[in-house]
Amino acid sequence: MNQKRTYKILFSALTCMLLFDFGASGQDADLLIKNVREKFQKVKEYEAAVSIKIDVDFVKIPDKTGTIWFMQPDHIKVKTKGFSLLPKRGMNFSPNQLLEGGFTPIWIKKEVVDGHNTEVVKVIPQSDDSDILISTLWIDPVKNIIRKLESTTRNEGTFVMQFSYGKLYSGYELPEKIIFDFDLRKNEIPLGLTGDFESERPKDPKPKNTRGTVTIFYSDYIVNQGKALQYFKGKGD
Amino acid sequence: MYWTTVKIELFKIFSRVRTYIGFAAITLLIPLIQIALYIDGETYLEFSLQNLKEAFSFQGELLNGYLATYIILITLYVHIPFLVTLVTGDLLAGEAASGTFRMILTRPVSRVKLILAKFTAGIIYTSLLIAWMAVLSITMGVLVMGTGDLVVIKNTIFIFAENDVLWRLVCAFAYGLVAMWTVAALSTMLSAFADNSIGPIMLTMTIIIAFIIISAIDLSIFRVVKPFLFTNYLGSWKLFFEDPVDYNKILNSIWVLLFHIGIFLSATIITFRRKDILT
Repeated sequence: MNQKRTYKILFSALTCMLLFDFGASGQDADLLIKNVREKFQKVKEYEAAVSIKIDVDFVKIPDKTGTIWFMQPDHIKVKTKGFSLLPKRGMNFSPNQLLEGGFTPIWIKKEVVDGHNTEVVKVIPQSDDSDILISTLWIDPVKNIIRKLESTTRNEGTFVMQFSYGKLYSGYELPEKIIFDFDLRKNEIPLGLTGDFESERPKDPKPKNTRGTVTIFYSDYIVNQGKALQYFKGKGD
Repeated sequence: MYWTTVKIELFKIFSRVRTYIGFAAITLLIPLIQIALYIDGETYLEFSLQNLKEAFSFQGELLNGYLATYIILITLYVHIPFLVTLVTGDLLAGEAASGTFRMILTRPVSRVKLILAKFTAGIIYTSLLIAWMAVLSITMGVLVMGTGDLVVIKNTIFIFAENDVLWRLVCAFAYGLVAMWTVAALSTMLSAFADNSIGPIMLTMTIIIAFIIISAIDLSIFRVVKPFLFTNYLGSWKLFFEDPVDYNKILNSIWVLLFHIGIFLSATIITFRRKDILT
């Protein structure tokens, strides 16, 4: 009888603990994302120097340097000398683009990323039209910044972004390096366009999927001093 | 004495209307291609780079004078041999056809020196033609579309910085010189066998087109033959538009072409020395 009672108490306690834990985690996920967004909202605009290094097996392009301007909520412009390939998603690290519209955050676990304790949160957009199907965020709960992000998209496969932070710029924590890893489809280019009639390499007519990496270095941030504002006003953007 | 003969041969070459056909064709074609690219070049690039557009936004202009020059090189390097052979195929056969050989050979110039002088004159004509093509395509391209980074689309897409392009174009044209000298040597050799210039011109072009077709068809039997076809090395200027540049491969191609020039010239000399001049 006593044993039965002990089991009952134990079972009730476990149920309570589990319920409490899930409840707290759900709350934590919302709070974590809210804190990240609020922190980034303080950065109204910025100008920074960028250096872009592209590593895709079928593209050879020299590293490019230039300037980036950002203005809330999602205005972004990059200018480099000469021609550059700019990753469609990688340049803008604002959490706004990821968390726009309704979304459901789910706390998953704690994990260490590059020596930093993070909370892993999965974010599922509520809209059926969203191009991003699911994202996983590794959030630093102390600094309220994203350390790593992985998203699966409807049309462009999966991409991963890893953020490295250094010194503070005017008190703001902004990334100094982003490694953007993404899926890329390689189509064979028609011979008439390449002029490569004597190529000794066998041609593969089937499109191949490959991975690409873009490393973006940010430096010399000028935050909330109207630099980007001036730029976008000047451009009429 | 030798240079006097070369000068006489050059005078003969530049006295003929057909010599100016090549220059006229280039003067007409290059602006035409460049204007067409200026108007519709974006579509060409859009189509070529469509798989990159899925993941990247493009910043900056790729359509510029350097790209136009590169496209001209790709488009014309199969056709320029015709303009070369139009003159060089006539070097010996033209004399035979007009019946002037006997008169020429009465001069105190050996047959070997005469062949060498004619070949040198042919080489000078070819060099002037390629130089005109280079100057016209680069200067006009830069004037019309300006300079910029160069995109080269092969199995790999190479994008070269603006300050890394001009030397590649100059080297490509310089390589083109050696390639076209080989064509000149071939047509001069064929010219030694003929008594009218149509034959050597047609035969030279037939050989080049046939060899290029064999090179382009990816069959195992052709793959074995391919390294022995001189046409396989005509397009090695494209190696300057890779990163890193495979200088060993380029040098090897140059040696192969020079070897062919030597063979063709030797064959011309041997044939012409033994030739019974009847006209």
